[in-house]
Amino acid sequence: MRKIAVGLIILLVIAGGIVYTTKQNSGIPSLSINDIKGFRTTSIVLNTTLPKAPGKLMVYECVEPNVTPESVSSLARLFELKGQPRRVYDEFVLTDDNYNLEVNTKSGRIVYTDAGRWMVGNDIDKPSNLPSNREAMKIAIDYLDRKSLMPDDAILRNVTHPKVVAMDSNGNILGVGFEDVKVSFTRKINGYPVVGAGSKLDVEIGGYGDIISVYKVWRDYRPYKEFSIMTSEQALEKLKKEGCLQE
Amino acid sequence: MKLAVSVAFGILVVLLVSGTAYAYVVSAEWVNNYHGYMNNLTNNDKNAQGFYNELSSDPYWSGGFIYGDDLAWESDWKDPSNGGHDDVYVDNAHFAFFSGHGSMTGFYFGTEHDDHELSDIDALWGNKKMDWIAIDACQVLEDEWWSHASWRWGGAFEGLHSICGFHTTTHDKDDRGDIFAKRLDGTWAEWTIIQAWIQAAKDTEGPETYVAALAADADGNDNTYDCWNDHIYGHGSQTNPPADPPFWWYGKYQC
Repeated sequence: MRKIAVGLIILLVIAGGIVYTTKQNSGIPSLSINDIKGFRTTSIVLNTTLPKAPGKLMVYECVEPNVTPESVSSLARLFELKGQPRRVYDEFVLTDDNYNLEVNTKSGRIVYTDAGRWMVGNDIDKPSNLPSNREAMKIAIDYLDRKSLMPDDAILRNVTHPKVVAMDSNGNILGVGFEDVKVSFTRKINGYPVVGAGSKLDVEIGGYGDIISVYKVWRDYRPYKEFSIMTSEQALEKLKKEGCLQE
Repeated sequence: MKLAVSVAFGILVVLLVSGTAYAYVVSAEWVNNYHGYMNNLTNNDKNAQGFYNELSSDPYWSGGFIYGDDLAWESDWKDPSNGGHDDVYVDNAHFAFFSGHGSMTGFYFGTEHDDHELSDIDALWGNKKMDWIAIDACQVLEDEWWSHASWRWGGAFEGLHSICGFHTTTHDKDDRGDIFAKRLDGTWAEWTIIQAWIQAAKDTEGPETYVAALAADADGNDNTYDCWNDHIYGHGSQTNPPADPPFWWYGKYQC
């Protein structure tokens, strides 16, 4: 509980610092915790030393990807899919039997899915058929390398096991309907982790080591502008004085 | 283009003749303005409209109603046996969508018709028409050793097939409903309801968020997956569950 409280305060202090900078400098959106769709506490206990913040911080902007029918067709070939992609709004879509490929024209997000298996109950993707975590990591990395989809700056984030279980009304687990091994990668820019929906690389390995999902959004970026950052002490004082972040 | 229009028209004629055109109803409610009861949100109108508009444009589906802010009432989701009117509102639709605040015990409205919270003990869904519900709100399907999702929401299944929701907090996104529907009705894909929900959450949330779903089992056999693998009507198969499912399928997924 104490660790959570400490983590929260550090997060708020950093966020406060960033908000302070955005009010000083136009050009990047302000932050808010008001977009959480549930209850949130504003009572926080601080029991730690404050982190050191740099005096200035570079902000980066995304570079729009160049997604064309030809590039999507090449990608489809890479995934050994047949057929022509069709464009629906901002998305290129190709369906070949149970396999789906989607490429988003705005973010460059690639989603390859075996829709007959991924996150559906089936008889193949069961715990007894799965590779170990170590084997799954090797399978994922080899696969991404082979398909030229592994970014140079990818860092292993974690290995998890998404699963679907049969559960009675008391929460007792009666069986497993689906399980795979998900190998996830993250990245850092200028030493800072990239968070949120806009930066992900996941490979999911099902029964017998089959790749059943690849999800990659890994945007190119360029420096935008350097911003001044307030100190942690200043941010904490501001938090005490003004309360939680409001837009 | 002419060919596409002709094919679409042909499909519509076939559906009209077979009686399945517009046979299934989608309804939605959303809340941005909580009048100080909780903090206001911004994007639930666009989020719910995106789902409602996309699905109701499908030839098999039609729009029942979409109500927002002060017109979205808790009693619309509450069973008549508990003093509500869901028999003429959300349980009179096959697919219901809510976008707003939530917690482990329910989801929240900005007005007191009858009260702010639709809690798990208020709900009896599917005893008229409802088959699926998506609750785009925080933590409604949180599963903990001290409070399991099946324990809280299992009693709400009275013919209902599945609930889509979140295990953790989630964020106020404007496009998740639209993305969700596009992978249901064939615009992008014809995935299962729960696949489409998980992928829509993954498209819109960071890895700190866990999306979740709870689905009825129909036959008591844990080698068949029943309502977990449902597609919407017109776009694949589905399984009809009994009013009191023998057990539930539950899954959560790190976005």
